[in-house]
Amino acid sequence: MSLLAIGGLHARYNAGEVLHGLDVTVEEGEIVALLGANGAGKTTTLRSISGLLDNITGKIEFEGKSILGQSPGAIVRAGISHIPEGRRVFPGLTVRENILLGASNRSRLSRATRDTKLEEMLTYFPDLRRLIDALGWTLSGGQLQMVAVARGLMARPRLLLLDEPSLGLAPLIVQQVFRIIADIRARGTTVLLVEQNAHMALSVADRAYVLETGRILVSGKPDVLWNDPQVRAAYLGGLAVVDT
Amino acid sequence: MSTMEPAIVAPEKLAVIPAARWWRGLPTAAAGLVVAVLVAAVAPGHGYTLNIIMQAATYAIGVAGLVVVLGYCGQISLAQAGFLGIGAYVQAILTVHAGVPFLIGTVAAVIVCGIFGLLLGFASLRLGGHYLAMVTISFQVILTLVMTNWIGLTGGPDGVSGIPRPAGLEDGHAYLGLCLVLLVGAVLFTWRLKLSRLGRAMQAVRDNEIAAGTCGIDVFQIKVVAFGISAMLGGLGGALFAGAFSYVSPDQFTFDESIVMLTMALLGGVQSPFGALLGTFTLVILPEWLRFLREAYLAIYGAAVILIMIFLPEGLWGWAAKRLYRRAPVVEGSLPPLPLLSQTAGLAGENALEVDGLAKHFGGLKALDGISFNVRRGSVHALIGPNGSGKTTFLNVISGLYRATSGAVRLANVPMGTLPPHQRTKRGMTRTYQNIRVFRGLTVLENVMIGAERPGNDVRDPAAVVSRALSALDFVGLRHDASLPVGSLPYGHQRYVEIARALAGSPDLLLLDEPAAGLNSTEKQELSELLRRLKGHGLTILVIEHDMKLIEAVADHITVLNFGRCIADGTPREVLSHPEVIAAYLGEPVPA
Repeated sequence: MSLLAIGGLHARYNAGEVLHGLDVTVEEGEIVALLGANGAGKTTTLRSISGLLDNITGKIEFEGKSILGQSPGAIVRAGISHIPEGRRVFPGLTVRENILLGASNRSRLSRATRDTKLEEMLTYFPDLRRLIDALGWTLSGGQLQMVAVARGLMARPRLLLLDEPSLGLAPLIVQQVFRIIADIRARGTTVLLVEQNAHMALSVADRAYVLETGRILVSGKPDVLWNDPQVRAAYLGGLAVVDT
Repeated sequence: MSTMEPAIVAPEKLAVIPAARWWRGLPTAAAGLVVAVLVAAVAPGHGYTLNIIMQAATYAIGVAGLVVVLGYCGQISLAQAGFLGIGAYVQAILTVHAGVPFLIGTVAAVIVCGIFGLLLGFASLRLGGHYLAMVTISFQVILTLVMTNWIGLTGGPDGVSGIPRPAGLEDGHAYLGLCLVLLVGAVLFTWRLKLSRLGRAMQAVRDNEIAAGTCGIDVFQIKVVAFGISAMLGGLGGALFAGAFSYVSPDQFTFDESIVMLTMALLGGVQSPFGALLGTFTLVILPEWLRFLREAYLAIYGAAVILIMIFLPEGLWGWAAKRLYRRAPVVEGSLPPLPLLSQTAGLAGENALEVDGLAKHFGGLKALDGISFNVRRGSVHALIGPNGSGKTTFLNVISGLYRATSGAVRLANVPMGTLPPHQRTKRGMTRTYQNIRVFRGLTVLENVMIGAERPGNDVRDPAAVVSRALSALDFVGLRHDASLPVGSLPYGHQRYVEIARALAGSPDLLLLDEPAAGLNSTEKQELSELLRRLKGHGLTILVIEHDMKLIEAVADHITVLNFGRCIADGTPREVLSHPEVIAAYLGEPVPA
């Protein structure tokens, strides 16, 4: 049984249908990447899974149970955590408060465990340590992104949905973020990743799907995709195969 | 995309928005006038029903004013009944006590209200949101007190009676006809205003004040003008109200009435004067229909208003308009190529931008700590550095959003001093934002039109503005999305809209804050292609970016910031192999 099984997923906004029958599976312990052009439907797929969209039909099963139509809160409690693109850090709360909010689905957590988790996040993102008491609105764009990722990791979900975690981060931090993604998988969290940085995404992913205008164009292991000339030209920038 | 076919579409055919020419409003105007005359002829010539229609017609003119200030410009005003009151009292006092003709009384009412509206608008210089709302409430309350207590002028609680109607229009049918014709005029004016340059500027201020400023819009001036126009419409409604009932008193123009007028605007749809019309007539007539419910009627009326608000948040008209209008077709065929250099290009000096010892401190935090470098004209200059190193702060100081603590910025040898953002934009600087700032209530095309309307960019004719905006959209490959609401575009394409908006203004210096964020590798290559084409046109670009492949491909020069200071400055080859840059920023050397 797959951890997450999506079958024949259709999603529509006011402007029209954006997903036309998507089939995606994620196995326990995998890192799966969704790639594709802007507007292909990657973010819509993640939003469908986490219950943020109304007009969807098809099958979305998590651990064999349907989660389609459930509230976002119920889906988080089932073990799916979503780090959306666009940061959404609370401007009036401190970095510490923002990160701790990520653990609010685990209300029975002891203060000590929470602090250990917070400390773990600060080892992931040492830059945040000196900013721990700074208010959200005083941070730069890249710092906000670090806070958003740290907050999402606090939930320690079974399945983590990551939407463009490397957006706006310096190269040094991008490398760090992908090391973290590999690390949290090693600790037992399954990851479904939307990423524009295909090079980095494919370096950590076990499998990837390439979306084109709401359909799966091709899927497979990273080396297969890297060697597919059509995919390379359309989505990977036509780059030469990189030593990954 | 980059090669233009010879067949170029004439500007007249670029009818993607109805606003390009004023005469496109004529059929609606004619239809409105016919309806006005018909209603005036069919309505009873006296009695209760006539009074109800008169009240609705005069109120609706005032509610159209709320559409301007709240719907278009996003500034809350809870004093609209007060402006009706000023208009009504000016009309009453001038016609009754001074014997002035009705028409002159009306003009005076509009002018006096306009002046008070501008004064109230000045309050928006320092105040926004809740605070501005409080000021408008205070203004409203003071007006009611003056009307009640300045007995020598206003007659106090007894008000002024015996207000005449204009000669020849004393009859109920005729006077109602006058009110309705002026209502049609007010509605048409408000409708056309939305599609005009001024109306677009107001909507830009509503959707994003910061981006409006850096598009060259004087945000404060636009707010003051919106308050002025809104008050003048209130004054016109009030002047007609006085003639309709031949009697005015303070209790007709209280804060409660301002709330009713706000409800009318929101219920009908605050984005359109047609909504104002619908909302006003609904709220004036609905209680009359519900009177058979006796004691329960006020409760039912209140419940009906709440239900409409909950289920039709865009108002009655907003709901209907969505179903009535399909989006405008997008013009096919090729467009005139985008002339990228503005009239001011070829300025003296080899540097487009000079920065000298620039510092910006936030309390104890030195976000920028003495930065100096020049951006050569016609070059692509990259600014890189770790997250939080001060790059965006630097851009915000350059574009006037933050005031520098010390240091100097010169654009084409002209010191920028403490000029506000719109003045800097006027002198040839446009920019994009890291956390996208588009005008969400507008279409893709309207967003870019606001860019084309940059002061200093000599494009005045509406068709030329449309044509230029479409060319800029063509340049970034988004012309076919021109008539979509900008919010419906995916993240990466909204970035392109911002770039098109900045380009449409023919800048001398383009500031880009992380243009490649959210683009995939292929799209990044397209962007790098686009930047090279811009450079080929002689445009100077200062770009903040974390994508080193892109920087390597386009940059002539790189400056690296860390903790608000310059740690390296030179050619890409020198900078990207600099040990300090690798340690602080890159992590590993960029592969050649």
